[in-house]
Amino acid sequence: MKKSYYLFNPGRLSRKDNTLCFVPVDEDGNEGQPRYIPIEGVDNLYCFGSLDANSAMYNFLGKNHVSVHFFDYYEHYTGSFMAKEYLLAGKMQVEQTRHYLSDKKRMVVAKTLVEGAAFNMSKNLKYYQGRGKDVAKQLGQIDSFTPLIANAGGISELMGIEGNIRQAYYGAFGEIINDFDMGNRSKQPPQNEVNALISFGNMMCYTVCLDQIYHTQLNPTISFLHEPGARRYSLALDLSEIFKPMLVDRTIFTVLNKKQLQASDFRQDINRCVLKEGAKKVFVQAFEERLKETFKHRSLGRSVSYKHLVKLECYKLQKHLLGMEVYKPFKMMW
Amino acid sequence: MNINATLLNYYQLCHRKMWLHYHAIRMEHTSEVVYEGKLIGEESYPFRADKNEELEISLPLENEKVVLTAKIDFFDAKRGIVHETKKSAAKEWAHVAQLQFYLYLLQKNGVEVSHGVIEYPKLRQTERVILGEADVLRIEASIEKIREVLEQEQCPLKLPISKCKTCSYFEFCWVGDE
Ligand code: SF4
Repeated sequence: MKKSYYLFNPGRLSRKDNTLCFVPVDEDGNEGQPRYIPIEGVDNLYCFGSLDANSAMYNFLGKNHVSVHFFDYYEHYTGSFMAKEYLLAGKMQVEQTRHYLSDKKRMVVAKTLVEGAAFNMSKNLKYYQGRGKDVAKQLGQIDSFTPLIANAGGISELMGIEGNIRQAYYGAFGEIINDFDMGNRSKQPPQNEVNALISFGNMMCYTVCLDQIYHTQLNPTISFLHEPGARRYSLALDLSEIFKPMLVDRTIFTVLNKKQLQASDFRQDINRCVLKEGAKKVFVQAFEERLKETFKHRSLGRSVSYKHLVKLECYKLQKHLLGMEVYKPFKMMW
Repeated sequence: MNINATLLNYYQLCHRKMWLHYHAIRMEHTSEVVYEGKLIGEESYPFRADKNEELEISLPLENEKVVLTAKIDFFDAKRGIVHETKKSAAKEWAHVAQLQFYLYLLQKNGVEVSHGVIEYPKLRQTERVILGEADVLRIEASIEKIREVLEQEQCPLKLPISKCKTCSYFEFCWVGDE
Protein backbone atom coordinates (compact mmCIF):
# COMPACT_ATOMS: atom_id res chain seq x y z
CA MET A 1 0.00 0.00 0.00
CA LYS A 2 1.47 3.34 -1.03
CA LYS A 3 1.58 6.14 1.51
CA SER A 4 1.42 9.90 1.64
CA TYR A 5 4.43 11.60 3.13
CA TYR A 6 4.23 14.93 4.91
CA LEU A 7 7.31 17.10 5.03
CA PHE A 8 6.91 19.64 7.78
CA ASN A 9 10.55 20.48 8.30
CA PRO A 10 12.57 22.45 5.84
CA GLY A 11 15.21 20.37 4.14
CA ARG A 12 16.63 18.92 0.97
CA LEU A 13 15.04 16.11 -1.00
CA SER A 14 17.13 14.22 -3.49
CA ARG A 15 17.29 11.02 -5.44
CA LYS A 16 19.57 8.22 -4.30
CA ASP A 17 19.24 5.35 -6.78
CA ASN A 18 15.65 4.21 -6.39
CA THR A 19 15.15 5.94 -3.12
CA LEU A 20 14.22 9.42 -2.01
CA CYS A 21 16.52 10.96 0.55
CA PHE A 22 15.31 13.73 2.82
CA VAL A 23 17.85 15.70 4.83
CA PRO A 24 16.27 18.14 7.28
CA VAL A 25 18.04 21.45 7.62
CA ASP A 26 17.51 23.63 10.68
CA GLU A 27 17.39 27.44 10.87
CA ASP A 28 21.14 27.72 11.20
CA GLY A 29 21.72 25.57 8.15
CA ASN A 30 22.76 22.49 10.10
CA GLU A 31 21.86 19.20 8.47
CA GLY A 32 19.97 16.57 10.46
CA GLN A 33 19.73 12.82 10.16
CA PRO A 34 18.85 11.80 6.56
CA ARG A 35 15.70 9.79 6.01
CA TYR A 36 15.33 7.34 3.14
CA ILE A 37 12.01 6.57 1.47
CA PRO A 38 11.81 3.86 -1.23
CA ILE A 39 9.91 5.29 -4.17
CA GLU A 40 7.59 2.29 -4.61
CA GLY A 41 6.00 3.11 -1.27
CA VAL A 42 5.28 6.75 -2.07
CA ASP A 43 1.83 7.83 -3.14
CA ASN A 44 2.41 11.56 -2.93
CA LEU A 45 4.26 14.22 -0.95
CA TYR A 46 2.84 17.11 1.04
CA CYS A 47 5.29 19.87 1.49
CA PHE A 48 4.74 22.34 4.35
CA GLY A 49 8.29 23.46 5.00
CA SER A 50 10.62 24.95 2.46
CA LEU A 51 12.06 22.31 0.19
CA ASP A 52 15.34 22.24 -1.65
CA ALA A 53 15.38 19.94 -4.64
CA ASN A 54 16.76 19.63 -8.13
CA SER A 55 15.25 18.62 -11.43
CA ALA A 56 16.67 15.08 -11.22
CA MET A 57 14.47 14.54 -8.19
CA TYR A 58 11.39 15.85 -9.98
CA ASN A 59 12.11 13.76 -13.05
CA PHE A 60 12.36 10.76 -10.80
CA LEU A 61 9.06 11.58 -9.08
CA GLY A 62 7.43 12.22 -12.43
CA LYS A 63 8.46 8.86 -13.79
CA ASN A 64 6.94 7.20 -10.77
CA HIS A 65 3.74 9.26 -10.96
CA VAL A 66 4.27 10.78 -7.56
CA SER A 67 2.77 14.25 -7.10
CA VAL A 68 3.99 16.92 -4.70
CA HIS A 69 1.57 19.36 -3.11
CA PHE A 70 2.92 22.61 -1.74
CA PHE A 71 1.62 24.78 1.07
CA ASP A 72 2.86 28.16 2.17
CA TYR A 73 3.58 29.48 5.63
CA TYR A 74 -0.11 30.15 6.24
CA GLU A 75 -1.04 26.62 5.17
CA HIS A 76 -2.43 27.89 1.91
CA TYR A 77 -2.30 25.36 -0.85
CA THR A 78 -0.03 27.01 -3.39
CA GLY A 79 0.15 24.38 -6.11
CA SER A 80 1.17 20.91 -7.12
CA PHE A 81 3.84 19.24 -9.10
CA MET A 82 2.00 16.69 -11.21
CA ALA A 83 3.83 14.24 -13.39
CA LYS A 84 3.03 14.53 -17.06
CA GLU A 85 -0.45 13.24 -17.74
CA TYR A 86 -0.14 9.54 -17.99
CA LEU A 87 -3.57 8.07 -18.50
CA LEU A 88 -4.89 9.84 -21.53
CA ALA A 89 -7.99 8.53 -23.23
CA GLY A 90 -9.31 10.38 -26.24
CA LYS A 91 -12.85 9.11 -25.92
CA MET A 92 -12.98 10.03 -22.24
CA GLN A 93 -11.68 13.54 -22.90
CA VAL A 94 -14.16 14.10 -25.67
CA GLU A 95 -17.11 12.92 -23.60
CA GLN A 96 -16.04 14.95 -20.57
CA THR A 97 -15.77 18.05 -22.72
CA ARG A 98 -19.09 17.34 -24.38
CA HIS A 99 -20.74 17.19 -20.96
CA TYR A 100 -19.19 20.49 -20.00
CA LEU A 101 -20.19 22.23 -23.22
CA SER A 102 -23.84 21.19 -23.19
CA ASP A 103 -25.70 23.27 -20.59
CA LYS A 104 -28.20 20.51 -20.15
CA LYS A 105 -25.65 17.75 -19.63
CA ARG A 106 -23.51 19.94 -17.42
CA MET A 107 -26.45 20.82 -15.17
CA VAL A 108 -27.28 17.15 -14.66
CA VAL A 109 -23.81 16.47 -13.26
CA ALA A 110 -23.62 19.73 -11.32
CA LYS A 111 -26.98 19.15 -9.65
CA THR A 112 -26.01 15.62 -8.72
CA LEU A 113 -22.87 16.91 -7.05
CA VAL A 114 -24.80 19.50 -5.04
CA GLU A 115 -27.43 16.95 -4.07
CA GLY A 116 -24.73 14.59 -2.84
CA ALA A 117 -23.03 17.36 -0.91
CA ALA A 118 -26.33 18.47 0.67
CA PHE A 119 -27.17 14.92 1.63
CA ASN A 120 -23.81 14.41 3.30
CA MET A 121 -23.99 17.72 5.14
CA SER A 122 -27.38 16.93 6.57
CA LYS A 123 -26.20 13.41 7.41
CA ASN A 124 -23.44 14.93 9.53
CA LEU A 125 -25.93 17.08 11.38
CA LYS A 126 -28.28 14.15 11.93
CA TYR A 127 -25.43 12.14 13.35
CA TYR A 128 -24.78 14.82 15.95
CA GLN A 129 -28.47 15.31 16.54
CA GLY A 130 -28.55 11.66 17.53
CA ARG A 131 -25.88 12.51 20.08
CA GLY A 132 -27.91 15.21 21.73
CA LYS A 133 -26.88 18.30 19.74
CA ASP A 134 -29.63 20.74 18.97
CA VAL A 135 -29.28 21.29 15.23
CA ALA A 136 -32.94 20.95 14.29
CA LYS A 137 -33.14 24.50 13.01
CA GLN A 138 -30.23 24.09 10.60
CA LEU A 139 -31.49 20.70 9.44
CA GLY A 140 -34.83 22.32 8.72
CA GLN A 141 -33.12 25.03 6.68
CA ILE A 142 -31.14 22.50 4.65
CA ASP A 143 -34.33 20.52 4.07
CA SER A 144 -36.07 23.59 2.75
CA PHE A 145 -33.27 24.47 0.33
CA THR A 146 -32.60 20.97 -0.99
CA PRO A 147 -35.72 20.65 -3.19
CA LEU A 148 -34.67 23.82 -5.02
CA ILE A 149 -31.64 22.05 -6.47
CA ALA A 150 -33.67 20.07 -8.98
CA ASN A 151 -35.27 23.20 -10.41
CA ALA A 152 -32.19 25.40 -10.58
CA GLY A 153 -32.11 27.06 -13.99
CA GLY A 154 -28.38 27.58 -14.29
CA ILE A 155 -25.03 27.15 -12.63
CA SER A 156 -25.08 30.45 -10.75
CA GLU A 157 -28.52 29.74 -9.34
CA LEU A 158 -27.31 26.29 -8.33
CA MET A 159 -24.23 27.77 -6.70
CA GLY A 160 -26.49 30.14 -4.80
CA ILE A 161 -28.55 27.28 -3.42
CA GLU A 162 -25.40 25.41 -2.53
CA GLY A 163 -24.15 28.50 -0.72
CA ASN A 164 -27.36 28.74 1.30
CA ILE A 165 -27.17 25.10 2.29
CA ARG A 166 -23.57 25.45 3.31
CA GLN A 167 -24.29 28.55 5.33
CA ALA A 168 -27.06 26.76 7.23
CA TYR A 169 -24.74 23.81 7.74
CA TYR A 170 -21.89 25.90 9.12
CA GLY A 171 -24.43 27.55 11.40
CA ALA A 172 -24.63 24.28 13.29
CA PHE A 173 -20.90 23.98 13.92
CA GLY A 174 -21.04 26.14 17.04
CA GLU A 175 -23.50 23.69 18.56
CA ILE A 176 -21.55 20.59 17.54
CA ILE A 177 -18.14 21.84 18.63
CA ASN A 178 -17.85 22.11 22.39
CA ASP A 179 -15.29 24.74 23.28
CA PHE A 180 -14.90 26.87 20.18
CA ASP A 181 -17.13 29.33 18.42
CA MET A 182 -17.41 29.28 14.70
CA GLY A 183 -19.03 32.64 14.08
CA ASN A 184 -19.46 33.33 10.39
CA ARG A 185 -17.52 31.37 7.86
CA SER A 186 -14.54 33.54 7.04
CA LYS A 187 -12.33 32.21 4.31
CA GLN A 188 -9.78 34.79 3.35
CA PRO A 189 -8.31 35.00 5.80
CA PRO A 190 -9.87 32.72 8.41
CA GLN A 191 -10.62 34.73 11.55
CA ASN A 192 -10.85 32.03 14.17
CA GLU A 193 -9.75 28.50 14.99
CA VAL A 194 -12.65 26.64 13.43
CA ASN A 195 -12.44 28.64 10.23
CA ALA A 196 -8.71 28.05 10.05
CA LEU A 197 -9.26 24.31 10.36
CA ILE A 198 -12.00 24.32 7.72
CA SER A 199 -9.78 26.12 5.25
CA PHE A 200 -6.87 23.83 5.95
CA GLY A 201 -8.99 20.67 5.82
CA ASN A 202 -10.72 21.69 2.60
CA MET A 203 -7.36 22.10 0.92
CA MET A 204 -6.31 18.67 2.10
CA CYS A 205 -9.53 17.23 0.69
CA TYR A 206 -8.94 19.02 -2.60
CA THR A 207 -5.50 17.47 -2.97
CA VAL A 208 -6.82 14.00 -2.16
CA CYS A 209 -9.43 14.38 -4.89
CA LEU A 210 -6.82 15.72 -7.28
CA ASP A 211 -4.56 12.72 -6.63
CA GLN A 212 -7.32 10.24 -7.22
CA ILE A 213 -8.52 11.96 -10.40
CA TYR A 214 -4.94 11.87 -11.62
CA HIS A 215 -4.95 8.08 -11.42
CA THR A 216 -7.97 7.88 -13.73
CA GLN A 217 -8.50 9.08 -17.28
CA LEU A 218 -10.56 12.07 -16.17
CA ASN A 219 -9.19 15.47 -17.03
CA PRO A 220 -8.85 17.41 -13.75
CA THR A 221 -9.23 20.79 -15.45
CA ILE A 222 -12.71 20.20 -16.89
CA SER A 223 -15.36 20.60 -14.21
CA PHE A 224 -19.11 20.88 -14.03
CA LEU A 225 -20.23 22.66 -10.88
CA HIS A 226 -17.26 24.97 -10.55
CA GLU A 227 -16.23 27.03 -13.52
CA PRO A 228 -13.12 25.53 -15.10
CA GLY A 229 -10.37 27.91 -14.16
CA ALA A 230 -11.78 28.64 -10.71
CA ARG A 231 -8.69 26.71 -9.84
CA ARG A 232 -6.45 24.95 -12.22
CA TYR A 233 -7.82 21.55 -11.24
CA SER A 234 -11.44 22.51 -10.82
CA LEU A 235 -12.76 18.97 -11.14
CA ALA A 236 -11.08 18.32 -7.78
CA LEU A 237 -13.20 21.17 -6.36
CA ASP A 238 -16.31 19.49 -7.74
CA LEU A 239 -15.50 16.16 -6.20
CA SER A 240 -14.49 17.55 -2.84
CA GLU A 241 -18.02 18.91 -2.39
CA ILE A 242 -19.13 15.33 -1.89
CA PHE A 243 -16.35 14.40 0.49
CA LYS A 244 -15.73 17.47 2.64
CA PRO A 245 -18.47 16.66 5.18
CA MET A 246 -17.21 13.14 5.69
CA LEU A 247 -13.46 13.67 5.48
CA VAL A 248 -12.87 17.21 6.71
CA ASP A 249 -15.73 18.25 8.95
CA ARG A 250 -15.91 15.00 10.87
CA THR A 251 -12.19 15.20 11.48
CA ILE A 252 -12.53 18.75 12.76
CA PHE A 253 -15.31 17.79 15.16
CA THR A 254 -13.26 14.90 16.47
CA VAL A 255 -9.97 16.69 17.04
CA LEU A 256 -11.68 19.62 18.75
CA ASN A 257 -14.17 17.68 20.86
CA LYS A 258 -11.57 15.15 21.94
CA LYS A 259 -9.39 18.13 22.81
CA GLN A 260 -6.58 16.89 20.59
CA LEU A 261 -6.39 20.53 19.57
CA GLN A 262 -6.90 23.36 22.01
CA ALA A 263 -6.89 27.12 21.91
CA SER A 264 -3.16 27.14 22.61
CA ASP A 265 -2.55 25.30 19.32
CA PHE A 266 -3.56 28.38 17.37
CA ARG A 267 -2.02 31.77 17.02
CA GLN A 268 -3.61 35.06 16.10
CA ASP A 269 -1.53 36.74 13.41
CA ILE A 270 -2.22 40.29 12.32
CA ASN A 271 -5.64 39.61 10.83
CA ARG A 272 -5.90 35.88 10.67
CA CYS A 273 -5.94 32.80 12.80
CA VAL A 274 -3.07 30.40 12.15
CA LEU A 275 -2.48 26.78 13.14
CA LYS A 276 0.75 26.35 14.99
CA GLU A 277 3.24 23.79 13.69
CA GLY A 278 2.11 21.08 16.12
CA ALA A 279 -1.55 21.71 15.29
CA LYS A 280 -0.94 21.04 11.62
CA LYS A 281 0.67 17.72 12.46
CA VAL A 282 -2.18 16.71 14.73
CA PHE A 283 -4.78 17.58 12.14
CA VAL A 284 -2.92 15.94 9.26
CA GLN A 285 -2.52 12.77 11.27
CA ALA A 286 -6.20 12.65 12.19
CA PHE A 287 -7.08 13.33 8.55
CA GLU A 288 -4.75 10.57 7.35
CA GLU A 289 -6.35 8.14 9.79
CA ARG A 290 -9.75 9.11 8.48
CA LEU A 291 -8.61 8.39 4.93
CA LYS A 292 -7.31 4.99 5.94
CA GLU A 293 -10.50 3.98 7.74
CA THR A 294 -12.26 1.21 5.89
CA PHE A 295 -15.82 0.10 5.60
CA LYS A 296 -17.64 -2.59 3.72
CA HIS A 297 -18.77 -1.23 0.39
CA ARG A 298 -22.24 -2.50 -0.38
CA SER A 299 -22.25 -2.86 -4.14
CA LEU A 300 -18.67 -4.18 -4.28
CA GLY A 301 -18.99 -6.41 -1.23
CA ARG A 302 -15.42 -5.48 -0.38
CA SER A 303 -13.80 -3.44 2.28
CA VAL A 304 -12.56 -0.09 0.95
CA SER A 305 -10.86 2.91 2.52
CA TYR A 306 -12.29 6.42 2.41
CA LYS A 307 -9.41 7.46 0.24
CA HIS A 308 -10.19 4.72 -2.23
CA LEU A 309 -13.81 5.80 -2.15
CA VAL A 310 -12.77 8.99 -3.91
CA LYS A 311 -11.31 6.94 -6.75
CA LEU A 312 -14.51 4.92 -6.97
CA GLU A 313 -16.39 8.19 -7.29
CA CYS A 314 -14.19 8.99 -10.28
CA TYR A 315 -15.17 5.68 -11.86
CA LYS A 316 -18.86 6.50 -11.42
CA LEU A 317 -18.34 9.88 -12.99
CA GLN A 318 -16.48 8.28 -15.90
CA LYS A 319 -19.33 5.86 -16.47
CA HIS A 320 -21.81 8.71 -16.47
CA LEU A 321 -19.78 10.68 -18.99
CA LEU A 322 -19.41 7.62 -21.22
CA GLY A 323 -23.18 7.14 -21.11
CA MET A 324 -22.90 3.83 -19.30
CA GLU A 325 -24.64 4.54 -16.01
CA VAL A 326 -26.28 7.59 -14.51
CA TYR A 327 -24.04 9.11 -11.84
CA LYS A 328 -25.31 8.79 -8.30
CA PRO A 329 -23.16 10.56 -5.75
CA PHE A 330 -21.67 8.87 -2.72
CA LYS A 331 -24.04 9.26 0.20
CA MET A 332 -22.93 8.81 3.76
CA MET A 333 -25.05 6.21 5.45
CA TRP A 334 -23.83 6.65 8.99
CA MET B 1 -8.62 0.80 -36.02
CA ASN B 2 -5.77 -1.29 -34.67
CA ILE B 3 -6.53 -4.78 -33.44
CA ASN B 4 -3.87 -6.64 -31.51
CA ALA B 5 -3.57 -9.84 -29.51
CA THR B 6 -4.66 -8.15 -26.29
CA LEU B 7 -7.96 -7.12 -27.85
CA LEU B 8 -8.41 -10.57 -29.27
CA ASN B 9 -7.88 -12.02 -25.83
CA TYR B 10 -10.26 -9.54 -24.18
CA TYR B 11 -12.82 -10.24 -26.87
CA GLN B 12 -12.87 -13.83 -25.73
CA LEU B 13 -13.13 -12.82 -22.07
CA CYS B 14 -15.55 -9.90 -22.11
CA HIS B 15 -16.71 -7.50 -24.80
CA ARG B 16 -16.94 -4.64 -22.33
CA LYS B 17 -13.37 -5.17 -21.20
CA MET B 18 -12.26 -5.10 -24.81
CA TRP B 19 -14.23 -1.93 -25.57
CA LEU B 20 -12.89 -0.08 -22.51
CA HIS B 21 -9.34 -1.14 -23.20
CA TYR B 22 -9.61 -0.04 -26.80
CA HIS B 23 -10.83 3.38 -25.68
CA ALA B 24 -7.85 3.63 -23.33
CA ILE B 25 -9.90 3.33 -20.16
CA ARG B 26 -7.39 1.06 -18.54
CA MET B 27 -6.86 -0.31 -15.11
CA GLU B 28 -3.65 -2.23 -15.56
CA HIS B 29 -1.65 0.49 -13.83
CA THR B 30 -3.35 -0.46 -10.59
CA SER B 31 -2.45 -4.09 -10.89
CA GLU B 32 0.70 -5.60 -9.43
CA VAL B 33 0.31 -8.64 -11.65
CA VAL B 34 1.14 -6.75 -14.80
CA TYR B 35 4.25 -5.35 -13.18
CA GLU B 36 5.40 -8.80 -12.24
CA GLY B 37 4.68 -9.98 -15.75
CA LYS B 38 6.90 -7.29 -17.19
CA LEU B 39 9.79 -8.26 -14.99
CA ILE B 40 9.68 -11.88 -16.07
CA GLY B 41 9.55 -10.90 -19.68
CA GLU B 42 12.63 -8.78 -19.21
CA GLU B 43 14.68 -11.03 -17.02
CA SER B 44 13.94 -14.69 -17.52
CA TYR B 45 15.91 -15.13 -20.67
CA PRO B 46 18.71 -12.62 -20.48
CA PHE B 47 20.53 -14.31 -23.36
CA ARG B 48 17.78 -12.96 -25.58
CA ALA B 49 18.62 -9.41 -24.69
CA ASP B 50 19.49 -8.98 -28.35
CA LYS B 51 16.53 -6.86 -29.35
CA ASN B 52 17.08 -7.64 -33.02
CA GLU B 53 14.88 -10.66 -32.61
CA GLU B 54 11.96 -8.47 -31.62
CA LEU B 55 9.50 -7.98 -34.38
CA GLU B 56 6.74 -5.51 -34.95
CA ILE B 57 4.37 -6.56 -37.63
CA SER B 58 1.11 -5.29 -39.02
CA LEU B 59 -1.45 -6.25 -41.58
CA PRO B 60 -3.98 -3.86 -43.10
CA LEU B 61 -7.23 -5.57 -44.03
CA GLU B 62 -8.91 -4.96 -47.39
CA ASN B 63 -10.80 -1.80 -46.46
CA GLU B 64 -7.67 -0.43 -44.72
CA LYS B 65 -9.91 0.64 -41.87
CA VAL B 66 -8.68 -2.21 -39.74
CA VAL B 67 -5.02 -2.92 -39.16
CA LEU B 68 -3.89 -6.00 -37.31
CA THR B 69 -0.77 -5.42 -35.27
CA ALA B 70 1.55 -7.48 -33.13
CA LYS B 71 4.73 -7.07 -31.17
CA ILE B 72 6.48 -10.36 -31.15
CA ASP B 73 9.11 -10.72 -28.43
CA PHE B 74 11.24 -13.30 -30.11
CA PHE B 75 11.03 -14.61 -33.65
CA ASP B 76 13.53 -17.14 -34.85
CA ALA B 77 13.37 -16.31 -38.56
CA LYS B 78 15.72 -19.07 -39.64
CA ARG B 79 13.53 -21.81 -38.31
CA GLY B 80 10.23 -19.90 -38.49
CA ILE B 81 9.49 -20.29 -34.80
CA VAL B 82 7.69 -17.71 -32.65
CA HIS B 83 8.66 -17.78 -28.96
CA GLU B 84 6.61 -16.35 -26.14
CA THR B 85 7.30 -16.44 -22.41
CA LYS B 86 4.50 -16.55 -19.85
CA LYS B 87 4.85 -15.99 -16.14
CA SER B 88 1.56 -17.73 -15.57
CA ALA B 89 1.52 -20.72 -13.22
CA ALA B 90 -1.02 -22.39 -15.47
CA LYS B 91 -1.34 -22.94 -19.17
CA GLU B 92 -4.12 -20.90 -20.71
CA TRP B 93 -6.05 -21.07 -23.89
CA ALA B 94 -5.48 -17.35 -24.34
CA HIS B 95 -1.73 -17.93 -24.64
CA VAL B 96 -2.30 -20.36 -27.47
CA ALA B 97 -4.69 -17.97 -29.18
CA GLN B 98 -2.13 -15.17 -28.91
CA LEU B 99 0.55 -17.22 -30.60
CA GLN B 100 -1.80 -18.38 -33.30
CA PHE B 101 -2.59 -14.74 -33.97
CA TYR B 102 1.13 -14.04 -34.37
CA LEU B 103 1.56 -17.01 -36.69
CA TYR B 104 -1.45 -15.84 -38.69
CA LEU B 105 -0.02 -12.34 -39.08
CA LEU B 106 3.38 -13.62 -40.13
CA GLN B 107 1.90 -16.04 -42.61
CA LYS B 108 -0.37 -13.36 -44.13
CA ASN B 109 2.69 -11.20 -44.54
CA GLY B 110 4.30 -13.93 -46.57
CA VAL B 111 6.75 -15.02 -43.89
CA GLU B 112 7.58 -18.71 -43.68
CA VAL B 113 6.43 -19.96 -40.32
CA SER B 114 6.61 -23.38 -38.76
CA HIS B 115 5.08 -23.18 -35.29
CA GLY B 116 5.09 -21.36 -32.00
CA VAL B 117 6.52 -22.23 -28.60
CA ILE B 118 5.20 -20.94 -25.29
CA GLU B 119 7.66 -21.12 -22.43
CA TYR B 120 6.45 -21.34 -18.86
CA PRO B 121 9.49 -20.73 -16.66
CA LYS B 122 7.48 -21.19 -13.49
CA LEU B 123 6.24 -24.56 -14.66
CA ARG B 124 9.50 -25.44 -16.37
CA GLN B 125 7.44 -26.47 -19.37
CA THR B 126 6.94 -25.48 -22.97
CA GLU B 127 3.92 -25.78 -25.21
CA ARG B 128 3.97 -26.19 -28.95
CA VAL B 129 1.40 -24.25 -30.97
CA ILE B 130 0.43 -24.74 -34.59
CA LEU B 131 -1.90 -22.80 -36.84
CA GLY B 132 -4.48 -25.04 -38.51
CA GLU B 133 -7.03 -24.18 -41.16
CA ALA B 134 -9.83 -24.07 -38.60
CA ASP B 135 -7.78 -21.67 -36.52
CA VAL B 136 -7.41 -19.32 -39.45
CA LEU B 137 -11.18 -19.27 -39.98
CA ARG B 138 -11.79 -18.68 -36.29
CA ILE B 139 -9.33 -15.78 -36.19
CA GLU B 140 -10.88 -14.15 -39.24
CA ALA B 141 -14.40 -14.49 -37.84
CA SER B 142 -13.28 -13.04 -34.51
CA ILE B 143 -11.68 -10.03 -36.15
CA GLU B 144 -14.90 -9.23 -37.94
CA LYS B 145 -16.88 -9.41 -34.69
CA ILE B 146 -14.29 -7.39 -32.78
CA ARG B 147 -14.56 -4.62 -35.35
CA GLU B 148 -18.34 -4.56 -34.92
CA VAL B 149 -18.15 -4.29 -31.14
CA LEU B 150 -15.45 -1.62 -31.18
CA GLU B 151 -17.38 0.49 -33.64
CA GLN B 152 -20.31 0.69 -31.25
CA GLU B 153 -20.76 4.11 -29.69
CA GLN B 154 -21.99 2.47 -26.54
CA CYS B 155 -19.96 0.41 -24.10
CA PRO B 156 -21.16 -3.24 -24.12
CA LEU B 157 -23.07 -4.64 -21.16
CA LYS B 158 -21.53 -6.26 -18.11
CA LEU B 159 -21.05 -9.98 -17.68
CA PRO B 160 -22.65 -11.72 -14.72
CA ILE B 161 -20.76 -10.61 -11.60
CA SER B 162 -19.50 -14.13 -10.95
CA LYS B 163 -17.27 -13.82 -14.01
CA CYS B 164 -15.90 -10.44 -12.92
CA LYS B 165 -14.34 -11.17 -9.55
CA THR B 166 -10.75 -11.28 -10.77
CA CYS B 167 -11.08 -8.72 -13.54
CA SER B 168 -9.09 -5.50 -13.16
CA TYR B 169 -12.25 -3.57 -14.12
CA PHE B 170 -14.25 -5.12 -11.29
CA GLU B 171 -14.50 -1.92 -9.26
CA PHE B 172 -15.07 0.22 -12.29
CA CYS B 173 -17.93 -1.94 -13.53
CA TRP B 174 -19.58 -2.78 -10.25
CA VAL B 175 -19.29 0.34 -8.13
CA GLY B 176 -22.84 1.61 -7.92
CA ASP B 177 -24.54 4.02 -5.63
CA GLU B 178 -23.51 3.32 -2.11
S1 SF4 C 1 -15.68 -6.52 -14.52
FE1 SF4 C 1 -16.89 -8.02 -15.65
S2 SF4 C 1 -18.12 -6.82 -17.04
FE2 SF4 C 1 -16.50 -5.49 -16.31
S3 SF4 C 1 -14.91 -5.68 -17.83
FE3 SF4 C 1 -14.45 -7.15 -16.26
S4 SF4 C 1 -15.39 -9.03 -16.91
FE4 SF4 C 1 -16.27 -7.41 -18.15
